[in-house]
Amino acid sequence: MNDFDAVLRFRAYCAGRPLPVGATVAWGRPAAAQTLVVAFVRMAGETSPWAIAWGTPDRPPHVASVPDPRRADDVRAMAMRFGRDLLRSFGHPEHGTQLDVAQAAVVVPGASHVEMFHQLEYRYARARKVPDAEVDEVNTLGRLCGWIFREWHRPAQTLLVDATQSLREAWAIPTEDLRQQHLGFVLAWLTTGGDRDARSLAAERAEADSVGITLDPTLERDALEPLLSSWNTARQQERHDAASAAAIAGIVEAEVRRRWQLAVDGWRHLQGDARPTTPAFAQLAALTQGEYERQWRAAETARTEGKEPFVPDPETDRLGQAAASRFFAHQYAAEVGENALLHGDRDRVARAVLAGQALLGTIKGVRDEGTGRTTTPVWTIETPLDAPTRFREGSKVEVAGAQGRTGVLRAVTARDDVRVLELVITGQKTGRGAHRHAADPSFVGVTVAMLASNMAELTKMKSFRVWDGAGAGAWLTHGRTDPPHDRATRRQEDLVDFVEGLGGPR
Amino acid sequence: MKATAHTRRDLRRRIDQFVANPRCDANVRAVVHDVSMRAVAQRDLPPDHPSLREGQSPFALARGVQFEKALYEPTDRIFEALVKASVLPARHGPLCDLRLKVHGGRLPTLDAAATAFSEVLRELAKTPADAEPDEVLALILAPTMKLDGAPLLPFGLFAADLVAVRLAETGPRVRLCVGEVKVYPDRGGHTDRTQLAGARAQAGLYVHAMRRTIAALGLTASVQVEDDGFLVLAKPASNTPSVRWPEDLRWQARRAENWWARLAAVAAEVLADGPAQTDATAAIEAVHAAGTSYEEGCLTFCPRAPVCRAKALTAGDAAVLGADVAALVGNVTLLRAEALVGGRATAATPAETALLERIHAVDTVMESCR
Repeated sequence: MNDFDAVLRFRAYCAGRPLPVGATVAWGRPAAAQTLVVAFVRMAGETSPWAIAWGTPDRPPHVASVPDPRRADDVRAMAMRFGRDLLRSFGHPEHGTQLDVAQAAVVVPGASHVEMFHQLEYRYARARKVPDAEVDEVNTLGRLCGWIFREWHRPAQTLLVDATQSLREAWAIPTEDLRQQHLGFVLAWLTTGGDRDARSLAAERAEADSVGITLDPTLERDALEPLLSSWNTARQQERHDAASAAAIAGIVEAEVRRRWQLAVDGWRHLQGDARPTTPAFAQLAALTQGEYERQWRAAETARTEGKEPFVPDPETDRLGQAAASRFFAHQYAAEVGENALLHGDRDRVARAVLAGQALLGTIKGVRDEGTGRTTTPVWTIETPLDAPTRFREGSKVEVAGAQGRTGVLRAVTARDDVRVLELVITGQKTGRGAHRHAADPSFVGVTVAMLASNMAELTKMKSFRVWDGAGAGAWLTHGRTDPPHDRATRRQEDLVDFVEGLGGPR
Repeated sequence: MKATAHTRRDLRRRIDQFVANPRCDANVRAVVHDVSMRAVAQRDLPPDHPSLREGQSPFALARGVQFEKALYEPTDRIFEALVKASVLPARHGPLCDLRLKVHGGRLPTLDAAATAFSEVLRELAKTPADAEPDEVLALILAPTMKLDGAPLLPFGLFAADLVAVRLAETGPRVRLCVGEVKVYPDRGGHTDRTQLAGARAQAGLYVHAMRRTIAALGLTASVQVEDDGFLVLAKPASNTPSVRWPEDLRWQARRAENWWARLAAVAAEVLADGPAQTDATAAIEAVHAAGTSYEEGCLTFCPRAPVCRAKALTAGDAAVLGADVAALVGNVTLLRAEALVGGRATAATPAETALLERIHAVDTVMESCR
């Protein structure tokens, strides 16, 4: 958080209500039918879900639960009910049609629900102790959950929405960061009418109910533990305690349903936001579409054709070049996302300026140093000397709001209390579309923000080049190893005698 | 002071509580007098307030017990895991169980466990130079330590989860490696960072306590605690142990040493509380009467945080908007800052002038960008 966010939060406190952050929003506007909302609850200390709720926000959710989540077979049956719908929603080659990522969304209430996808991957992606008839389907669900979990962590992805995080990023809420991890708390601040005290009180009340995947310990101790104990006792006596099972289902399903509804409320609030979606959304959605097709769907398609494509391990990087490639893919996404979102939103530019990542200045002179048919526009820009910046002579910059108009800072000098920059325009020099020719004298007097030039394409290239087994350092990770030494050619004599025999100076 | 429902003997938790907010006088006094902040909060909050709920799930507790049982009964499992992770050699000695009866062991009290561990250390110190690994204890379960020089913390006992014994070729022959058992899943690089940090901090504290115990017994020439420790976590969706080794605990141990010294110094000042040293009710009263210093982190550990937050809000303390806004506003109250920004007051101090300048700078940039 820099001064931009701190001041905005302070102003929200003064206003007594949340204030919008940014002039645009970073999410799409898919139809309800293309939006899947998912919520989980689990037993404390366990990694399997106890209940799952899923469905589109315009209809009541599907809800499934088990009496005891420590019974793997029951959990698998529940997970597969959810899994079949999940595979269909994601357009698995055997379950549905390819997804148009720009027109779809998967929404969860908060970060702990995302972690559950990883737990499902662990449990099912390589599961073997299941009936033969189910192995393929169970493994397929596990692989999809793994891809969802990994994709969730890729910067600037557009498909998967953490409702709490999206709301927190889009609004300045006058309270501590820690409390804003709670979706009910955030929603109460956003939707309650009245003054600061009324909103604060509503948020405090909402905060009392758990929204993560773990249930309230009091509920587990006082309500669920006796029921589960009774159910398990009956099971040991080979009886079915239907009453206890129904009571357990009633409790855990109500809990998961409440979380699902909160996610829906959060999603509706996001969809009802009057701010336009960032112009960068299409570019970022296209990137997400590529990831979806290459990293998951293509692999699943190959599998249906009898091939065995590489699937990342749920735990760690077992294949060096794949890990390196994914690292660069994530870095590329981060660079593209940051740059694209800045171009589309002047408030984000202001935040970058205050963080020293962009520099604001006024164009004082425009000239064209080109000769003949070439054009070399040069801008003289003045900025306050005390404005924080990381730019130096030779820095490559891009003009905010004019993606592609790049330049190099040829000179940076100081005069009185101003910093004078000479910017040689190297990209998008001529007029195109809405942009004027860079040497147009009408630029004089215009305030521009300069961003660090986007080097994402270089990063993208690295994500491909790390696969080259002959590249520098490849022998450390994935290059072909040297052939094994032939023991027959090893010298048998004493090594000291051998060195002395070489006749070098003593 | 006699242990009551409001007192706890877990010194580790008390040190964690002290570290969480050493600026809060009430918190410091609660730590020194071993008073549960929940007991203090009960005086200010209605009984059904969420902050007063007991935090432990019976299922989580059962899972912990089940995991521990799977680790130690039979003991092959823990040995297998530690040998596989190279904590112990393939040829190793037996296990020494110093657990309390309530935890599945044989010792009746913590004091008896602490005495037994001291005896074990003395025996280990006699290890001959030519001893083979399988002739020496390999693993000690629940070694309990009493910290010396802590007159204000009379119930100060630590019980680590387990310690592996290794033999070194040079220097002190016997090397102890502290291990910490946690039931949460080891998800490789995705394992919860906060949980890992907590486990390492805990293990670091045990390293420090064990070094002091060994020094107090005069055994430093023959027994040494290693900087490297290990964590025993669960493999996801199973009771199989996953051992993380080596975990560098030297900085965590140093941190524990520093905090312990600070706590001892602060405890000396708190001695002035008089009857609070011997009377649990007086101790609660002393904590209740002490000043508080609210900060965002209090929400994560202190049941009394809602009370302190409400006080801070009334006083216009910007900590209620988070650390960054508190840093922006400085020592100006929120009410005053609101009046300054709203033009209902003029800056009268350098801090108020600085605040207005910073806000103006943000406004200027935002205006220029629009």
